[in-house]
Formats: sequence, structure tokens, C-alpha cells
Amino acid sequence: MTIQTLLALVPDLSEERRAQLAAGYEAGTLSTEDKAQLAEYMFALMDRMEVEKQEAKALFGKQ
Amino acid sequence: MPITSPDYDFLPDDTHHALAAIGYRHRPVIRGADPAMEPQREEMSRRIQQLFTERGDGRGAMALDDSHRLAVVVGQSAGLLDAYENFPGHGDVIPYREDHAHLMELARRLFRDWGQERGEGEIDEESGRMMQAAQEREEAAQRMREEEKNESKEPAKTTVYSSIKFNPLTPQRGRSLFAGIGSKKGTLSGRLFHWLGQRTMSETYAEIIPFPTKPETTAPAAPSQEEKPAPKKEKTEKKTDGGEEAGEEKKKKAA
Repeated sequence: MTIQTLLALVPDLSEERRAQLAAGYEAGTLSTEDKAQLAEYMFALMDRMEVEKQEAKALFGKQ
Repeated sequence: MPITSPDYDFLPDDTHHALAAIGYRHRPVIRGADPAMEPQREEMSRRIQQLFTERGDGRGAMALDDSHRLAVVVGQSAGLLDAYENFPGHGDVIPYREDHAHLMELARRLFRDWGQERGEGEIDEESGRMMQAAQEREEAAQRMREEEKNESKEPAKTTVYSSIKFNPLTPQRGRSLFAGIGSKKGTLSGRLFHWLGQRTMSETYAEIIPFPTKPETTAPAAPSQEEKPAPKKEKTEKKTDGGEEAGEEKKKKAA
């Protein structure tokens, strides 16, 4: 999964900002603030995935 | 959003990879019980993580109580010391010299919970040994410090103890206590950070290090304890060594 794909999963992120972060990530030129922002997005994705996994487990586990 | 894409199977690896690529090995941990404080905590979390990333290796965690009066930071020495110096409003550093017992208790609690979460139900044997050895060294160092103190009342500027380095900065304009555990050799951090990075550090740990404004849980002590915050704040504004001030407060509380 590319960084663009990951960023596409982030809600409320503008196309422009997404492209900017992806370009900076791939070029290794992200500022410290951008890194922190990107890290937050990644952590949020991980959190969301964990929640969804638990929900799916609860849903399908009962069947 | 439901799990509809098989891509989600790769999400953990991919996000970890992306995080590692930008220097984030572990997430900053900074949560509390009051949701209203989350924005401020997030901002502080971001800043502390920046410091760890810029100065250290990106590893570190912090817990902050809801009143914003106490921050407990775990991280490598370099990141911690920079955090002290660059964290406006949080300059009341607890000198290790005076408050080591609280930090040791914090470390013990972390290790205990760590062991329990790993399903062992008690303190991890290996970690327990490590902590026991550290405690013995700490007690020996404490005895030496007591002897030194009797000879000279001049406090040391920097106290280096075992794998924990604590820089006793003098109180600044901050209002918060700022306690840290730093691992100089990485023996503590390597084991602890991975675990810390995967969980929410609750204010439970922050409670280990008492703060004068926090009401005591024991009924008899509560009234007198609540009257102490005001004088404490005045004291920290003095241009004297924070260790002596904080130590005095702790002694009063203990009494």
C-alpha cells in the first residue's frame, strides 16, 4: 500500500494536502510539523482499524 | 467505515513502515480521563513528540493529568532534557535527587502493569530483577548522597544515577511538575517503550507522583493537604533550587 493509498483513507484531508504530504514523504523533505501530522494520521488509521476489527469480530463471532 | 477491502490486512505493516520512515517508532501516549482536555493534550503530545524526534530517536511517551499540573515523561535522556528546556509552562522539574522514590515507584508500577498485561499476572521476572538491582544501586547512591549532604549543603547541578539521568533544573515560570524517566543506556527504554507505545497511559501513573493541589484519598489528611497549594506555588517562583523546595513539600506531605 503506498503512502497515497494510506492518506486516501484519512477522512477530511484535502486533495492538495494529501498530495503535499505524499510528495514530501517520498522525497524525504517533510518538515517536523508535517511529520507529526502524518504520524497522527497513521496512528488514527491504526486506531480505526483496531476498532473495526473488534466490531467485525463481535459481529461475526456471534453467528 | 466497515472493513471492505483486503488492503486492510496490510494496513498495520504499511502504517508502521510509514511511521518508521519519518522517525516515529512509537506513538506519543498522552491521554486523560477528561475528554475536554484532549485538544490541549494532543497539542502537547505533538510538541513532545517533535522534541523526541528532533533530539532523540523519536521514542518517548508522556502522561498528563487532567488538571495539566503534572506531566510524566518516559524517554531517552536527550529527548527528556530537551523536553524540560523547551516545554514552556512546565519548568518545575522534579529533581531526581529529591524525588527519586516517586520515579522508582512509577517505574515499578510500569513494570508491574507491563508484566500483567503480558499475561504473567505479576512482575516480569527479568524486569523485576532489573528493577531490584536498580533499587539497590539507588539506595546505595542515596546513602552516599546523604553522607555528602551532611558534609556540604551545596546541591549537585546534575545527578547521574545508574541508567537514569535527571537534570535538576531550577524552577521556572511554569506551574506544572514535570517528572521524567530517561534511560541512558537504553536498557529500560528498549523494553518499555514498545509496550508503552501500544497502550494508553492513563492518569493512574501520574497519580504516583503526588502534586500538592491534588486532593488526598485518605480522609484525615485531605483538609490540611488542600490548603497547601498556594504557598507551594509561591515557593516555586523563588529563584532557589527547585530540589530543595520540592523536597520540602514532599517531606511535609509525607508527614
